[in-house]
Amino acid sequence: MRARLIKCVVGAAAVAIACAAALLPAPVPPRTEGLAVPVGQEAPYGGEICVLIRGDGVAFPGSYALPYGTTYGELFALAGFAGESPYPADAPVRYGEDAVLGADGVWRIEIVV
Amino acid sequence: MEKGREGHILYRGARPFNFRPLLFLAAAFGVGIFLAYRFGVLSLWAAPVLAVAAATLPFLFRAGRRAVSGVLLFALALGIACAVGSLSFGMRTADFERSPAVAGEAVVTGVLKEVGRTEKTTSLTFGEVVFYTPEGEAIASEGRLRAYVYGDADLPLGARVTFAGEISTYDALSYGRVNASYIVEGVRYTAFLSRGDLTVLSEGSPGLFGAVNEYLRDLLFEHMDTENAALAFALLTGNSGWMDGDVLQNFRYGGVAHIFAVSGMNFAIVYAALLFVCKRLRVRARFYVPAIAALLIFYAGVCGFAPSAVRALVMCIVLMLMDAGGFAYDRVSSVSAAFLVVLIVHPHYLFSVGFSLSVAAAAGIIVLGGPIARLFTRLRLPRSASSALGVALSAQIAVFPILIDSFGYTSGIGLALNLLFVPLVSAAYGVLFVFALLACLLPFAAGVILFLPEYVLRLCIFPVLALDFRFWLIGGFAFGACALLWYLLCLFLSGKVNLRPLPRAAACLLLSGALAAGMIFTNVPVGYEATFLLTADYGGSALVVRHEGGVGLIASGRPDGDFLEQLCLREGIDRFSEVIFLAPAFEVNASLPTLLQYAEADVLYVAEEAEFPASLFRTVEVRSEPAFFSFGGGEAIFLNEETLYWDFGGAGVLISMGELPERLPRCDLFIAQEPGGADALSPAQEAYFGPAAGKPSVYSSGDLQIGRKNGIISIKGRA
Repeated sequence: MRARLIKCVVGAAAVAIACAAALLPAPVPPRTEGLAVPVGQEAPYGGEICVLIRGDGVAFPGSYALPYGTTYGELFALAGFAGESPYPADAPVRYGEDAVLGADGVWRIEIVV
Repeated sequence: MEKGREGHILYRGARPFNFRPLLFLAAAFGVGIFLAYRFGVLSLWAAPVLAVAAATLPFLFRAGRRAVSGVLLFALALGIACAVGSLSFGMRTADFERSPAVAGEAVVTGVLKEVGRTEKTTSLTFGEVVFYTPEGEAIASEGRLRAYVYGDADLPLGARVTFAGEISTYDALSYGRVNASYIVEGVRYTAFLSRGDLTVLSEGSPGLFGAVNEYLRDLLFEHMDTENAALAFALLTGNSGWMDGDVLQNFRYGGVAHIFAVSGMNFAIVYAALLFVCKRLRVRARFYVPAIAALLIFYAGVCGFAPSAVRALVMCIVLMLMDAGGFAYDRVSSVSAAFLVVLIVHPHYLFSVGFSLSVAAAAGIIVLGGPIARLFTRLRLPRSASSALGVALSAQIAVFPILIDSFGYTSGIGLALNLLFVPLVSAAYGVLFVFALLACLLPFAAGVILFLPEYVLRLCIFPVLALDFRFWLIGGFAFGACALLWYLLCLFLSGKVNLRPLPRAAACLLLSGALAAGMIFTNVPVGYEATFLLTADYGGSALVVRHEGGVGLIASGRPDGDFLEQLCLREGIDRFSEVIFLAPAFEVNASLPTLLQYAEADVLYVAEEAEFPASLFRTVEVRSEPAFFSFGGGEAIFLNEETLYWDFGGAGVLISMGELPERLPRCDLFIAQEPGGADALSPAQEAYFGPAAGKPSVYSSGDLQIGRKNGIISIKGRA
């Protein structure tokens, strides 16, 4: 019985010392929020390319907003251009030297055929 | 007992593992700290949950009445350990952040507490700091200030010094990592100065440990060759700052830089030497135990109470007490006690790489060392060779995930070098310690006394100077949370869990499968059409994109060499197909050679206005681009020297490392160093390299992985 009491007293003293050593050096309220800042965000984007097409052989010249990945062949079909294309028909429309930044902040690819 | 051994289908013997209270208390304390890091004060709920979960165990196993009271008491202790760990972390972090944030020009006075050296700079740590701002305000802070001075600035410890400089404040968390060393050392501020900026107001006296450290350093540098003195000082005190940077880096490449951390090896040798002397002199245990403990504590103090030294000190004292008391020494309880004591002293050590490596190596040797040694003995290797292999291999296995995640690489020849170096260095350290002690006591004969250890050290370091270990580096992947699975697998393979063969094999197979799947999930972006990585550190910021044609890099100007090296090693990149530095031409000019030290580059794109001399670099094609050009699997265009628009598969990404131009295109994702300028753009997503409250940033969340799929752009922290 006495041995158990001594063990309890020694154990309680050890816990008290450990608590004091862990907590007393910084007697301030603990940080309420965790330090870790997990991040996980998703948002949709337009995924469109704006093209301004004009030229003698273009039946429907004007500005087109195409889904990303549209090919020149599809663009010319849309604009009604049946002449000889300087671009490969199966190549996707890409920004190049013909891209111009509009006043509205939108990049437009100007194609003159 | 017999019934349990025969009856249970899962484990052998009376229980699946040997219950060690200290191990569980240390684990509960560590869990409390980790949860406080993750969830703040909410983590306190874990304490009662843990206590209740532990308290239900005796009812599940129908334990006896006496056992029930013991388990309930221990469950309470577990809950207390968890709560104290959590509170301790929260309070120490709050205490660190309580020191006011100071930014900008200020005149500072402070007392010099520590001096450290790096290859090019001297770091001076000041306490009792007072800032005098240009507005005339005086701000006294309890936080310390670390000033980096270019070149040599050997000021006396304890001196009161004043200087004027640009001050910045360290946060508790930066670039996704807890600033453990700064928090532990109380370093809240930093400044970069030149020697001429510093004025000594009054001389002071360094503390006892600082004075001994300084005395030893002066003695070694006075009587030994500079290179050997730096090596000797690093081995004796763990301060490798005086060593040549290239030599030290070569030790790191070889996986043997741990010899410069004062830890188990050092304390074991010192303890063995002191014990030998005491037993020879027939000193009684009641006298030599406190005497040796005091000397070991003094030695740890001279080493600046480094976490590895404190861990080894506690283990050594536990061993000594057990030995003196006639108790059987339990190594698991000893390392648990060391873990617990160090975390009680400062909970942020849980996030310190040095402490993690020290504990992992010690635990690895305890858990895996024996089984691996036995494996080699079965292969008919001599007992001593098996034991050495067991120790070296088990330590390597245990520290592998930490090295990979912290430094981005580990040495493929580390095992062989450790087998060669550790015994050599242990012997050299023993000789050095004794002779350095004698030299300290007999300084008039120091030149003669230090002659022998100097030559022993020169012999030891010769292979490192002669060979380049920067080959066969393992890297290019990360463990993240999978490290836990790695350690669990090691535990089950070691046989420390007394499972029967079938359940053990099943557990190992399951864990192996989970580990393989987890590693793939962590390292291979699954479920995206394309991804890129944003990474940053105090040394620079970068965007890395892998595509079919290679790897593209967009970096800030003048990135630090260490930052680029770690980026290349961590990502496993040795060649960039396209490189862009978003910086003025003169900075690009200085940045490319730094990059070329660590990776090759095919093409460097520069803005047309930069007027970059293209003939400067023979191996890299320099292209000045006025219009859209191909980059990272899409097209990009410079808007000015520091801003780039990139079409990332239909998503417009605007990347700025500095000044924004007047005309800006609409974009879906805006990436910049810090917020500002995005308001007019109203992008769908924003991500920043530097601090950005409430926005995704590398500064607060670590590396960010950005991916696109089906018209959705997502930003998430890298595991």
